[in-house]
Amino acid sequence: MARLGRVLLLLTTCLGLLGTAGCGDDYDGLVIGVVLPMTGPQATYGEESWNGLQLAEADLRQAGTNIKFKLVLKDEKSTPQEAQTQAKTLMELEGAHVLLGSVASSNTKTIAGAAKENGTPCITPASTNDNLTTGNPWLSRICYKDSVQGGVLATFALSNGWKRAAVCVDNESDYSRGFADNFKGAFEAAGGTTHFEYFKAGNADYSNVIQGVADANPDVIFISGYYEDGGPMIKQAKARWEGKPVIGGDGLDSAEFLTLIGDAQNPIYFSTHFAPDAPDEPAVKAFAERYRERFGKEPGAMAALGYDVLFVLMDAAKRCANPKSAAELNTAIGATKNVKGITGLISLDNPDRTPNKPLVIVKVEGGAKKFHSTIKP
Amino acid sequence: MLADVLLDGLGLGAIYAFIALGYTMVYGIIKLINFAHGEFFMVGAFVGYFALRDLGVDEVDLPQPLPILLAFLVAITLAATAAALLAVLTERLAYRPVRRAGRIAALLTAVGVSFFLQNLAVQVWGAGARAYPEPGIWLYVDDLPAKADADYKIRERVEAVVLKGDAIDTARKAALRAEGIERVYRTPDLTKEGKQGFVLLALLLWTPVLWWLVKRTRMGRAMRAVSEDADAARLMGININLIVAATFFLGAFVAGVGGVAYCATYGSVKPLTGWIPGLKAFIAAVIGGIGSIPGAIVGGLLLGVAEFAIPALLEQLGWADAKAFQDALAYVFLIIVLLVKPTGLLGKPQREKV
Repeated sequence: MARLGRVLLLLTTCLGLLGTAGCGDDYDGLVIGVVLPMTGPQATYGEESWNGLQLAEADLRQAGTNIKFKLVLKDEKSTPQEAQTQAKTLMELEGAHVLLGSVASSNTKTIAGAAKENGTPCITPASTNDNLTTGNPWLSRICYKDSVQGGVLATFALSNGWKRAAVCVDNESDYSRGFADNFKGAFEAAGGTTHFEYFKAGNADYSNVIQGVADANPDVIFISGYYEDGGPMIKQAKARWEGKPVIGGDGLDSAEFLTLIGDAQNPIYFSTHFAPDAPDEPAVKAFAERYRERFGKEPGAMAALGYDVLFVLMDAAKRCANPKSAAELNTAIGATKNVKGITGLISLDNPDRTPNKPLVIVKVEGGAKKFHSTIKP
Repeated sequence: MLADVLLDGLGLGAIYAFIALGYTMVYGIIKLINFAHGEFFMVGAFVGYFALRDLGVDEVDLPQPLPILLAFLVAITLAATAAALLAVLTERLAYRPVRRAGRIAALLTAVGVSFFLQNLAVQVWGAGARAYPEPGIWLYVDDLPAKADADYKIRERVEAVVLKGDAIDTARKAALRAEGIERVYRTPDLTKEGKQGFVLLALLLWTPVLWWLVKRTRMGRAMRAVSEDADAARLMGININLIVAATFFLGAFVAGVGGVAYCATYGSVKPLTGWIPGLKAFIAAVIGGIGSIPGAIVGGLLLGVAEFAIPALLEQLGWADAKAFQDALAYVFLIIVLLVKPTGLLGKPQREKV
């Protein structure tokens, strides 16, 4: 029996090795390395982004393209260290000409570092931290950045007449802190006041932060964090938050958020990259329908960004004489102008290589997400 | 204010105690720090999730609060049993082969098992957090009170049938029936505080049972004998493998109960659910004196209260951001306890074995 255990262990190890084995040596097309969190706490984002990429690949192939390309996916297991390792594996062993990834800013940071060292272009679909693209000409992104999101959310709150905000922050997360600080800057500059309360991701009891917010008696509660914390927090607060409005960012944009909040009576709004029910957007509607058909799920923001990132890349590759030349491809990506994506019009021809897109505000109503408005930064 | 801090702290501490019991029992018998214990807790929570979601106990026509209690009882029993069986299987496949290889090998195996189970759970159940189901009750439209005092809804969250405070008169009932709605679903207004009370109560009921098992039964005596000297116990005719398996079973059974209680109280479950509570419970076991059952309870409750009370106190004293350091303060507390009493609060001084 002990032997059986060992044999099983050996067998699983071998299977694991087989799964990662691959060879990019004799492929003569454009090799696109994709680094995403497919396991670990951020796996839902990775899965959605990958679905979006697959859908984009299918659409590109169906439309017909002159450029031969393939996608190679590596799992960064939701850690910055693994993200760097996988980025290096892709560039050195798989012969990747360009990298796409990742979701969490901390993880994209290490990927972009490796890409810069190696001189390989890299585009992140969804990392919003402001500092990522500064000082690294090899990294571009197709999403907005945190300072923009913080400013938009502050504008939205003030336009509703909410002057005093309680902000729930996770001090250990780059995303949460950066977002909260940017919100605070914009909100206070426009005459609002903020009160900070702290929580820690993964501690399932939010009593401290809930009570702190209740004591501060704000007009609006801003949760700067991910749905895994925001959802249960709103549910646990129930009576203590007395139906006060709650706002948040793209971290709350997840289907599970809607069930996690339970029977919360608070009006909830969050800013995000895209809403499948946005009016007057036939391309968005068509994308959402094909996504539902193929994956049987409602597309979230990561899916739309994953979809767009491949189109931005292929648009740049088309403008290159030789897309496999790193310098030429990177210049072409940086010259991207008005590519019509699901998440808006994408132009990267600015020093930040970050698009200036409008944000979507979504309202949670009767257990579903409803398009509310778009706000231009 | 003080009452809030105490209830929050005791509620969370009771969960730590539930997990710490398993750590302490296993450590007491084979001197293994079972890092996979938090994963037994998580698996228990998931089994409870499926039981609450799919078994439909709340559809049984019983007088009002009974279906909810029954649903929880069934979920907890299934969850605890599943966690216990997983623990026995883990012990058989992973720990027993390395038991004689030294404590470091066993410790590393435990860490490996922990990662393995976490990632297996991610593969099977997905990585995201899921909302923990709340058992409710089905009511016939005819039975609805004339004035609604709660939210009624169709199970699938399609739409709220009756909004809070709406009067439900005969006309409204007829309208509902005309729409083909015969029964409506009601989720109970269980607050987090109420659930925490239940958890504390469960802990109070469980502790004497465990104490009795260990101190007053033949199996308990055999456990203590193995703990004292495994080789001598074997010579006395005690089946060590059986006793170790039984210890894992008991420890994980309690953890499974804790898993359902924890997730039902705080509202969500995910594959990493067991990670932080597992770590904290380990700390609780050390604070209380690892190897001691009353120590695990005392340590758990104390750590829970300390996590809330220390930041609240420091905030009162003028340090506005104290709550940002909630966890760090809990660890500082651990260090102070260990400096004053290295064996933990109720731990026995260790004798060198020659």
